Amino acid sequence: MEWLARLQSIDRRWIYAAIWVACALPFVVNIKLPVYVSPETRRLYEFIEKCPPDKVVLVDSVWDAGSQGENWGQVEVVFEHLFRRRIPFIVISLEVTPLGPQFADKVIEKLVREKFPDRKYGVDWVNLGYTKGGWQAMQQIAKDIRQQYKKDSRGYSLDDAERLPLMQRVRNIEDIYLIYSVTYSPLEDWIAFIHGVYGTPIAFGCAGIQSTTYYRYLLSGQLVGMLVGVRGAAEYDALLHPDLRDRNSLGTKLIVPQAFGHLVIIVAVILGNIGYFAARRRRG
Amino acid sequence: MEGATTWQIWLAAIVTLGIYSYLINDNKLYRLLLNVMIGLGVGYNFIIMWKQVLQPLWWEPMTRGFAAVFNGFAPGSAQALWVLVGLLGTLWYFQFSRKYLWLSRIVIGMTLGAGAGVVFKQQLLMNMPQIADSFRPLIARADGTPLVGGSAAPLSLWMSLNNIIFVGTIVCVMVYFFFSFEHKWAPVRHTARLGRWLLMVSFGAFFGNTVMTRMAVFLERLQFLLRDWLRIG
Repeated sequence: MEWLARLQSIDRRWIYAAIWVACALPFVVNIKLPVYVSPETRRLYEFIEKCPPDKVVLVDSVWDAGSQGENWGQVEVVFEHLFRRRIPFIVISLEVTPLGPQFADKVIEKLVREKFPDRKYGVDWVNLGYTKGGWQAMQQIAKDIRQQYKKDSRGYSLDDAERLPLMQRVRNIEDIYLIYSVTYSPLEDWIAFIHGVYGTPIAFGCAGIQSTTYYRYLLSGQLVGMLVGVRGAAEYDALLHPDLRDRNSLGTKLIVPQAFGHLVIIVAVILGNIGYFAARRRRG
Repeated sequence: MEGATTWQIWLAAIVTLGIYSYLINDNKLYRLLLNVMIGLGVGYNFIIMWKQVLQPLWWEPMTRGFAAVFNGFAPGSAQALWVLVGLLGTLWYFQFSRKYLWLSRIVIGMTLGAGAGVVFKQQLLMNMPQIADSFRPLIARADGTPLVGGSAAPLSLWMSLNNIIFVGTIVCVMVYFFFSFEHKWAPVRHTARLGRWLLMVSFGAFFGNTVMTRMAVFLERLQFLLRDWLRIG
């Protein structure tokens, strides 16, 4: 029993090493696991499928290196869906991090280079860049987007019909079909000040850690869908590409290593509990 | 790292490993990299804030307004009033002066007043649908409508069970947080205890999701180290 009791005091560095090895294994050896699509992911996919041709999607993409493990995949799959259905979209980055526009551009550039070379900036998408102002900015965008943004992230005026034809038919919230906010922890003000006031559908892409607080909005219908962490991105990729061989989003790449990492943590929790009960038994 | 050159990949790999060296022990390289990152972040934030927020939304309209004023109050002169917003904003900095601290209280008071009003509206808009949604039929049809006065959908045991658990959880947790009297009466005591257990389950879900997020952050870096840097896999 002595050695069992020692299980609760394993040097943490051994656990880190085990996680490194377990997570690295699927990158080296090609291992595939099935992905089951959750209702919150399917709802977002189906909602985007129903987008009418005269509307645009507003993507609030505000994340950087700190959360790109989850958020990159979440915007990648939705951008791919929008490009595929030829639904125009506007990217904004509200609050949180000023690096948001650059990271969104990186994802879009990758998609355009690899899958959609005929999509054009200003026609299929526009990146308006970073802004601040929280709920006030949201309401400005809803009433008149030009009150909040004078130029896009490349410095073109929003009234420049030659460079930004897409923006000539977008004035206010009436032109927006869906707002998809992707960040570590999306602002709930989207729900209060945009869905609550104008009824515009909202969807979130969030870090797994935050999802627990947002599920209640799905149940009440205040969110039309949600992508949760790496899982949400991998599930959406599975809806876009039913054949496993066609999937190559970051979410799909990370989901198997994540399963292996979780396995190590579950084993560590079980070992720690065995050690705890062994030590308690020894003490009598 | 799409389109990165070799030296950029090596630099990113060294920085990543330097940050992860904290897992072995706290060290000078880790602290140096941390300070570099904070410095870069603050500097970048300052520039972006000016170029993308303050300059287009405040400075440019204000200077255009003053130009119109100096042109004999031409149309657009009113935009010069943006200067007042700038003056109000600078009042915050009197926090650093003991003598003129009272000036900062003007703008703090305005912020608090506006904030309180907004929070009231925000909570109402966010939570009223939540409260409405918590009233669910315990015997429900497949689409969630009640048995009496609902739609033509068939009766669903699964939906009914789901609603019973949902409403039961709300009641138990609310009883647990009812501190106006001691939980002596057995039904209240047991309900509160069940509420505590249900809260524990939700904390477990939080913790599980925390692990998932931390793992994703690590995996993205691991993928970079293995595929982009070491070119394995």
